[in-house]
Amino acid sequence: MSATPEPVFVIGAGPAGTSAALALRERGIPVHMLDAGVARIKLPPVGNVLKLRFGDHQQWRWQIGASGEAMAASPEASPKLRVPGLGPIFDGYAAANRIRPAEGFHVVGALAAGGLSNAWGCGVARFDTVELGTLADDRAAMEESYDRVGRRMGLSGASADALSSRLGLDEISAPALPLDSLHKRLWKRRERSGNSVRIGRARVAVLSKPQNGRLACDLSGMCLWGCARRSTWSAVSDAERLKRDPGVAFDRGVVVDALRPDGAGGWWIESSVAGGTRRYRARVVLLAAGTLATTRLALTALPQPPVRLRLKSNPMAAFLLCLPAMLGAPREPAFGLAQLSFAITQGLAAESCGNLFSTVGLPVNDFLTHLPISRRAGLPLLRALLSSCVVGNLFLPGELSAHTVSLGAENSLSINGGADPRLAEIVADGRSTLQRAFRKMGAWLLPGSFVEGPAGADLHYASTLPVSRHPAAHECRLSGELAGLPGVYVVDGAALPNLPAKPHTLTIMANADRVAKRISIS
Amino acid sequence: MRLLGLTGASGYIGRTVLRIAVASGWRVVAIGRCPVEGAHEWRFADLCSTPPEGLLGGLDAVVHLAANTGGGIVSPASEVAFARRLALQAANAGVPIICCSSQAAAADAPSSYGRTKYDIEQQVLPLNAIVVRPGLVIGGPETGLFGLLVTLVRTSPVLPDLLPRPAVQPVHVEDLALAMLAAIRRNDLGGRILAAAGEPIAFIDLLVGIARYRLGVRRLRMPVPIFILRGMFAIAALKFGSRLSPSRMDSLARLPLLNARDDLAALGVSLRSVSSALSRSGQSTRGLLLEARALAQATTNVSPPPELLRRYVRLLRVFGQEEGLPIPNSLLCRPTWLAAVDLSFRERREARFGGFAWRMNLMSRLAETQPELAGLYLMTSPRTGRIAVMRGLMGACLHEAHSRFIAAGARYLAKGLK
Repeated sequence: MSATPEPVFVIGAGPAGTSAALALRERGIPVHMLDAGVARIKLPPVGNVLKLRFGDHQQWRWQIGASGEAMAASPEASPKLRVPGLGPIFDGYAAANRIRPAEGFHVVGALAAGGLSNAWGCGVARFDTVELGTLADDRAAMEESYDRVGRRMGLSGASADALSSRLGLDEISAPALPLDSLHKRLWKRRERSGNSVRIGRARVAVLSKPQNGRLACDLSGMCLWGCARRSTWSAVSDAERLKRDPGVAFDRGVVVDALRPDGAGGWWIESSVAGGTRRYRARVVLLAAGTLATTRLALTALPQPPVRLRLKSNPMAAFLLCLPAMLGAPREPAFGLAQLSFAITQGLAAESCGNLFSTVGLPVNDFLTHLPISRRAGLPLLRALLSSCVVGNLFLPGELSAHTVSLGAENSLSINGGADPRLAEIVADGRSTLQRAFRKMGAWLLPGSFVEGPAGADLHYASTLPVSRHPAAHECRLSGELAGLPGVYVVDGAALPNLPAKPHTLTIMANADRVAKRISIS
Repeated sequence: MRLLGLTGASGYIGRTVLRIAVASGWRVVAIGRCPVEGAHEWRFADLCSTPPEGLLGGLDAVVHLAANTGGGIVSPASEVAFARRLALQAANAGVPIICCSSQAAAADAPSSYGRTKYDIEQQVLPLNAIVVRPGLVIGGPETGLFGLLVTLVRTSPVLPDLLPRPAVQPVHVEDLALAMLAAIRRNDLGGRILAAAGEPIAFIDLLVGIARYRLGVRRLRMPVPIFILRGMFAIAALKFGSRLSPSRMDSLARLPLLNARDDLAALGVSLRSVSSALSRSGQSTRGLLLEARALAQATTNVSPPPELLRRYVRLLRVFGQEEGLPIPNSLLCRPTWLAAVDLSFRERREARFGGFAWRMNLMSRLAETQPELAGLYLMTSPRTGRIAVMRGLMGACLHEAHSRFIAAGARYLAKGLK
């Protein structure tokens, strides 16, 4: 008679936590998930964004919120972070996880099942051997995990283009979604961009065909406000699948405070719940609470935590491109996430990459706020220009960030934002490279529209507890286990050895899948 | 139930004190010449005669508001004597008493009203009474001095902007009543003078506020040197009696400044704003709606749907912003000028919560969610094509040129708005 195996505890039900839990369940291992989330995400109505904009008298409720949630957030924050339906999931993350940012660092995390994938841009990419760093030592398993996770999410964007090999997902992706007329025009002229900038279709975790009860994207343009058709992937659907699994205990509203050794080779998971505290005893713990929360838990559990750790994130910028040939074009509903992607291949900003988006679902007021003219004059100007514009974002390699984290008073995590001294020069070079390339394609970078995001605004926090060949106590072995904390595995962004400019969510998920599979085998 | 004796219960302040006292659980005994509706009991007394013995029997507190405000047969001496006897009776019975005085109270006050109030204070303070000196009492029913001012603004096409500008310190009648009832509950204030008055504002601003928030009308202001008005009052007094006496004008011009902040804080009373106090409901929806209209026009250049204005006010209240911005009338009726104040995107980014730039942003964001206005934001048929673009660009240039042209003037007018 074999004893029932002990459950593996997974802390966090975002992309990493659900990927690990699903992989464990495939091998029949019982899982106990602890998730901080109690908030429910409010989805906007179903329908085409333009029809709703011209017809829905209650649209202020999903755009601003009945309690003005969109106005309470900083105007500097990404529009996504001001979506009222998502407000409750971001609120309180830093406080609940005792994270204290220094001046000028944006801390965002999600207190909800699904984690930050409730508000992500759905960009996906496969890391190459160099980008995987130490993880490349387990290359075959990583590749297998990439495929499995990618198929489960439902990717689209397959296209034989200049980014095919760079993004490396065409084999497991469905064809791309239709482009709107602005992006179609850029796409037709993609060869003109020259050698310094390569253009390709965006690879995104969005369904172009129905899958597992989720509907295919209908180009309603509501992506920013939340996809009522669930075409865009979020970990919520995986979390719901886990909740229905009898082999999974799923505790909501549990914020893990600390890990303490139980004296018998296992761990006490100490947590706060509404109105009190709760303790769990675990032999194996997977940390997937989001890089910052995971880092804090690991540091507080280590007998001799390092004084300071490096935290990487992608410095970023956003810009507006105008296609003069399209001036006067009527607004059309379009896919609201990345339609085209680009990669800079030459110059100081080589290895940086980004995406182009339609402006149709974005609030015009966000642009008005940044214009150096009065709103009254800005309004007719933007009405005239925005229908011939696309927005772009540019991500730079995480190596260029120089943030640090350290344990502060009462076991809180202090963050200090910082950047490589060359960053400004590199961003400026990237800007002019893009300006030249897009100009050749018939698109003008609008003067003054190129804005650098504040440190941490990209939300791509990673690499505090990286997988390493010769791990220090706070680093992970290839198995994902923290060298100084036996039985504790890191499966979220904290474990990434590198943070290239490419989208990194798929890699986090693939690594979580890989680590969980190794645990289940052993 | 505790018994509160109240003189002057039928007067302007008295009615409000009566209502609030009853609402907060007092049984009110009206003390005066005749019964007062709403009071539980009535005991006779008259300012002209000595208060009868045992008048305060069984009472737990007394608020003395009765006063002679407009000539008549009551002599100042009998008013002072009445107050002294009342305070004495209260002291003998161990009952706390509040005597309502005036901002004008001073030994050398220009008006007999102010001198009488001062004499009363001198008599009752040694008897451990609490003296409350209110500022200019406003709000509530249009009676008393407030009623007179409202009538003036309602009937007169122009408002006198007195020069030099006298300052008044308005206090809403309910806030005053709350302050008095709060003072009763304290037992350590006997023999003290408490001030209950708002921050000083120019008399003309009070009149403009009445026009804007109470009556919803616009009035021209006309500079009038005080000495001229004083002369007119002197002539009017010959015909109408002392209600419009020149000494009253002097009293206004020479009001001593009340510093009420500490007293109000000690009583736990926070005063509402002038705009709230002047509106009929005591909550300044009208002021906020006017602000909403002006901001909506400044951002969108079209006449806004009422739904948008209501939503703006509602969201402001969600954020705890009950007060309107101090937008001067000159800007309120010229949204293009208001738009010219909003030129700097730095100010927009660093917008102070609840400030002008923040509110412009709120309105601009709200306007965008209004289906009727969506066409202003999104290029859709029928207004598309190159001609629509040209029109848009020209419109933007013209608006911006106009804004820049008047920017200095607009910013000067808006200097209180940051």
